[in-house]
Amino acid sequence: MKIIAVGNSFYGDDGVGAAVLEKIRHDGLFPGAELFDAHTDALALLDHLVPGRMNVIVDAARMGLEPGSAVGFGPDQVRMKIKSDHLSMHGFGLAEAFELARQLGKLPEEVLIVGVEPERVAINEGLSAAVSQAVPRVISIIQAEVRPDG
Amino acid sequence: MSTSLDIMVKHLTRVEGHGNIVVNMKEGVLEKAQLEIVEAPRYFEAMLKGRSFHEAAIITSRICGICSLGHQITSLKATEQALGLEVSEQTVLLRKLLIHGATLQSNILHAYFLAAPDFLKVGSVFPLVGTHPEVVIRALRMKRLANDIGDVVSGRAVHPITPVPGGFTRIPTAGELKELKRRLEEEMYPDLLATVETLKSLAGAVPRFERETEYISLRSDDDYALYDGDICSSDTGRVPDDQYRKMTNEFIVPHSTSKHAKAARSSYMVGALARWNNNHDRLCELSHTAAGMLGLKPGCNNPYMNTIAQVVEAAHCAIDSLGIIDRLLAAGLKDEKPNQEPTRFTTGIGATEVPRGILYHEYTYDRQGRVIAANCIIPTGQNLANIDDDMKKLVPEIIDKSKEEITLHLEMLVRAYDPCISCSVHMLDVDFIE
Repeated sequence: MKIIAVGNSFYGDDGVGAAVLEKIRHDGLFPGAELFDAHTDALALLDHLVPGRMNVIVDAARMGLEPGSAVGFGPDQVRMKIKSDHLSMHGFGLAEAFELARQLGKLPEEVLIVGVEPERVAINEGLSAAVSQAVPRVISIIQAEVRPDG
Repeated sequence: MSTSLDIMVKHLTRVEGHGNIVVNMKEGVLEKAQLEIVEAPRYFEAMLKGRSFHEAAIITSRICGICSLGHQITSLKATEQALGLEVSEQTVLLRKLLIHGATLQSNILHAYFLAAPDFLKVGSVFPLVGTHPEVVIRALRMKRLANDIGDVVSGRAVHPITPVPGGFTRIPTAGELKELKRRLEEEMYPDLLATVETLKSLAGAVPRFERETEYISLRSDDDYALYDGDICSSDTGRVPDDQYRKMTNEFIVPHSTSKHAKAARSSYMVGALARWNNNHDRLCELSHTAAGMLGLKPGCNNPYMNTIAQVVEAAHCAIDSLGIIDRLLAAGLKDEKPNQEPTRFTTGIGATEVPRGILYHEYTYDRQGRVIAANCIIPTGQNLANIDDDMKKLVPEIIDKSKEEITLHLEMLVRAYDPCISCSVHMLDVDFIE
């Protein structure tokens, strides 16, 4: 399994992906899983999605839900679920990266996106309480979705 | 001939951040032609106050996901000058390599993903995947290698972590640099040649438009100035970088939450075209060959040619990286510790050519090594007045075209500057909005 965080950990709840990776490292979860922080470069996903394995992407995403809500979905649902994310590569967000991966035949069969509704995305702030509390739920979603052999 | 026109492009696509194009012409009189910057300011400079010199570059590198490296290097240079921290030749070479990687990546991304769809009139990069998959794959391969230069030298490409005040916390190995060199020679070089060929086939789609402009860039006697140099204006010549306020003269306009800038005229341009016009004599042979093939000549006054200048410059970044790696390997990589013992606490200025133009950071430190004043001027802010001046000349010249065509020309103009609006609004002074 590969777990990829996207987002800027310097911008409040946009750092939820990085916080999830940190928790996984700290608690020694998902042994054998490769962890990668793509920061704000959505196009880097094209280089880091691995075929033949489960790819999990954790991102703060405006989905119109309560702050701290965590939802797992597939890449075909990205445009439907995510109203806006904060990836900033000239408008290349998750939806565009997956679209490009699909068209180039680089989209692995198993991709799980875990979106977390942010409360605030502002520079120089840590995670809000609501999003901090979502971190264990994100991990539960990943655990529920992945095969035991990962 | 139509004499009235009303254009409002909200949230222009394929630029970083939110900007609107607004044009009004009534009975042959142009009332308004401007790029409105509507993003909320984010008081970034205030956040640096009270922070230690170890933190300044870490904070500034997070301003913007795409301009991270440029902010970090510029911040480090300002801090080192303020605190009297000398850096080694090895540090300077490694930083130059980082800047080449970041410039290469940014220029390639802009040319292929943001500008090429305009030249081909396809709206976005996605239709190109179907019609020219090899071109898109090439662009991604080039982006990845440029990224990897950053990964090898700094540990991370997007948010570099090993560059610190006084040097690096980790030095790449000779093996890592040799591998980069091999890939630059075997992968990047043919990809650059192919890129020039691709762009050559599109060169006819670059709009013809000329406006005599003041071009400002860094200029150095030693090399094609990216890492450092004097500030050079095509109108007034060279001044040291501590004169940067005289060369920027920021001012406030009602239609922008980012400040505008001017020097000898009402506006000036920074970025790849400015660097080309001021420093083409310092570029490598491959860049000159590319410029010849793409019709880019010294003294070019067509802002749409900025994209071409970016590709010409990308070739230089790749070739010069080979030379830098050779010098590092010949000298032998030394496991130096960063020099972090301040010899003074004063004011320092960093000026660096980042992909979109000159970036300035200025910090003043107290005796505890904490920031007490900070000023940052970013390239996109410097280009905004120039974009407005271009639009004012362009609209009457193309008024006979359809509204859709005029709108596309204006969008292409703004995108040619590759603006990073997110950065420009991050860089406001605290007192601006009061």
